[in-house]
Amino acid sequence: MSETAKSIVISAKNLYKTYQSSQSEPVIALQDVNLDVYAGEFISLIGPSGCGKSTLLRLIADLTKASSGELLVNGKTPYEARLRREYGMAFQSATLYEWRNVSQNVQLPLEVMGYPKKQRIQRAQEMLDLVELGAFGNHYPWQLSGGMQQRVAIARALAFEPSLLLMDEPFGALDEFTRERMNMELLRIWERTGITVIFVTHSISEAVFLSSRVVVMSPRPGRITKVVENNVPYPRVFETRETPAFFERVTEVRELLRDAHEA
Amino acid sequence: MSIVNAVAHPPIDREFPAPLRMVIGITLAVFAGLIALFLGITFFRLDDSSLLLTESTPYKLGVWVTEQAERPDSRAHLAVLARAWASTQGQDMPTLAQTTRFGQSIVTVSAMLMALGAGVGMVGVWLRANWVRPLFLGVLLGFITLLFIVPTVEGEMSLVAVMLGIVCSVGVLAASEAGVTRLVAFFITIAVLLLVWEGLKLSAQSVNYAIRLPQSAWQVTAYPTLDDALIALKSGEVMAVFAERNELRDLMPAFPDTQDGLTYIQPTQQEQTFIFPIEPSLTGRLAIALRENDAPQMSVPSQLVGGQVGAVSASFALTRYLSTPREVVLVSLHILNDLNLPHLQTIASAFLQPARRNGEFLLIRILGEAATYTWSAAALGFGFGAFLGLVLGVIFAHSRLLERALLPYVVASQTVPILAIAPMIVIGLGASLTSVAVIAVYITFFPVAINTLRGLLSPSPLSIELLESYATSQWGILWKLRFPSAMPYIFSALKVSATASVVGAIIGELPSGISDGLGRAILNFSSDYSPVSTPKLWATIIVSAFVGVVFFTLVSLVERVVLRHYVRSGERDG
Repeated sequence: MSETAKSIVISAKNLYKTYQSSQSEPVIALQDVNLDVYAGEFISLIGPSGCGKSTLLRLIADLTKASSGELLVNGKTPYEARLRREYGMAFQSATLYEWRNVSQNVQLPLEVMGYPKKQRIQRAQEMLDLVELGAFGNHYPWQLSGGMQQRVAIARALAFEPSLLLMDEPFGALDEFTRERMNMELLRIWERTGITVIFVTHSISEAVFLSSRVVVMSPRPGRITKVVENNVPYPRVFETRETPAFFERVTEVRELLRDAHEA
Repeated sequence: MSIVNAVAHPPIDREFPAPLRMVIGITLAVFAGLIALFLGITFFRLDDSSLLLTESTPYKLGVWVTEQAERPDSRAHLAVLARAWASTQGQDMPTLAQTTRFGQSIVTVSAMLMALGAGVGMVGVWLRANWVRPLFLGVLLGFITLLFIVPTVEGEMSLVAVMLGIVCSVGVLAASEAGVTRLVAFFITIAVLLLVWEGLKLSAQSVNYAIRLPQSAWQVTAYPTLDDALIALKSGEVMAVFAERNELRDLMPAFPDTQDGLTYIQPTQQEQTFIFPIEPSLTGRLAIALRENDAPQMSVPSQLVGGQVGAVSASFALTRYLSTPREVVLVSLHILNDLNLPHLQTIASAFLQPARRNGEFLLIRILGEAATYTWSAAALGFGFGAFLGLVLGVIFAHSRLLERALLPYVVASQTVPILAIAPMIVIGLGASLTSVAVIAVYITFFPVAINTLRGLLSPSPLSIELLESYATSQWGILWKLRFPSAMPYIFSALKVSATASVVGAIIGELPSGISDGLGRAILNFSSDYSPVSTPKLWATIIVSAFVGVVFFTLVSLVERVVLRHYVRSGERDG
């Protein structure tokens, strides 16, 4: 956990989200969510399906609107933050555009933002180097494996140097081995860039391995059960998963999830 | 038991064993060579008056070339070439014998080359060489060409020999161990289709079976001139006079105006007893002159049978109609005839003869110019139609209101038959290229509009949210995501529209009276239903189809380039 940076990036107060439905009872997706995220943190949102973790992420990204409560991103409303392009986003599927090669896919946000061409190409190369795909700029998405496609998606999310990275189960579709390698990769990028990351997952070990704090959520209605401080020391390496401290945190999160499920 | 298990058989080896393949291949190659040799020798030994020569495609072309070369003002390319050649020989113009010999020697030499190719190919089959394929493809193409050159003459085996040659070459290609490429498969398909065509003609000739009931014959008096015949009619010597419609019309004003108590009728409906037609039928070319008092009771020729009728001696009415025995046709298996299914060679030689008698230009050139005109109207319509379709698609994709309001009318516009609306457009815009193009637009824009709409709405919500997360404008989403995603949809619509626009242009020309396009050519050649014009009609059909295929291919090529990086377009596996 970072000790120096204490400025608040995200602040949620009494946040509610209800999905109205004409046929049935309204569904409460989020109930009374309170959360502060500080700059440079790596926060995981974990919980079973329907606990509202993705909804919370989409509220922050302004892809959906809160029903009530206050949510600030860098001190602004999510809408303003989105217009000012303050976050990058990575989804469960890589959503690369098949008609663009890898470099052009990374350049997509830069094109939208009107960067000059030379700078776009240069930045895309830097980002691809960062995710260790520097030699694949001219390949097309269908030529890459699933893990490589996700790395391109991360490079794309980071291309315009946002201060916040939102990730919605980005490694959910990958096999266990690839996922662990991608986790190490992501931590390396996080440490190098100092970016704040909000990471939605339903893998306990992934959440514990990555995050400085793990937000455990429970369903019906979606709410935060507990925010677990993760004191497993950085830098985390392959062997970290075999240390007692790691086991302890995994056990704590697992029990919290079980209790939440039984409650 | 699952269905999969029930279906799974052990693999069966359908391939011929290699030695059998080789024996079949070599036998067929020998036959193909012998047939080519036979054809070459036959053509070499033809004398100048044999029907096989004078009916052949090169001879007919040669006659025209010689005629044209004799006219100093002729602009036909071949005539100019022939004159130039003649001047190198120290003559003013080529003679028919020279052009004939030229065509004859080309056929002979190519047949000999084919025989040589088949002989060498036989060795190739023995050696299992890869070059068997191109070699026999050449032999096959040679035989196919001969199918368009060698005429059908009674008692001659040439056409059957050509057909057997095609069968043998196809057999060698199929049995060859070199395998079948796309090109080979294409030409084998063509060869089989042509064989089916000529096979149908052969069977139609052998199944020439009919049950006919003879009818009582005419009692005809022949007169030297039409005037004499009409005088005889007036005097009561004959009941009626059969003559050319045009000549009667010149001498007598049209019904009901009468002259000297005479009138003429022109039966339009086909004459029949119960449901069986009577042959020969009175063609539209002929008409019957009657005394005015008899006219009401005499509306069909059969009512005149038994009485004395008159005609001009040696006229069409006498030789082709009145002197032919009248019969009721009860059953006829003679469905395919030279009228509706001409020989392929007849169609090919129609291409290489003037469109009109003594015409300056060959049909192929006239049709080529007509095709260019029709295609330019179609392409113009296609361009504007595709643009209109794209714009409509974009509007509908972005405005729910406009989609709900206008889309039903766009769909309804396509329920109006194009043939019904075409005259209205011509009345509105005048008989010009513009109205033809507008009709092509009408037929083109719809598939493009619908597919553009579908394509623009095809991106997944996630890929749209990705752009929204960068605060991309609707315009940016259209250019960066919606249009590229819609491209495969748009191109499949463009391919449909390319062929449809040609159809639209031809239909548009029909009511507009434009004489430059394929539409008028179709009208011309279908107006008189005679063995002279139906091969020309077939030629026009072939050219029309060709225009559509070429347009489709052009659009497909552009699609290949534009969509080269799309996963679905290629043959790759993602």
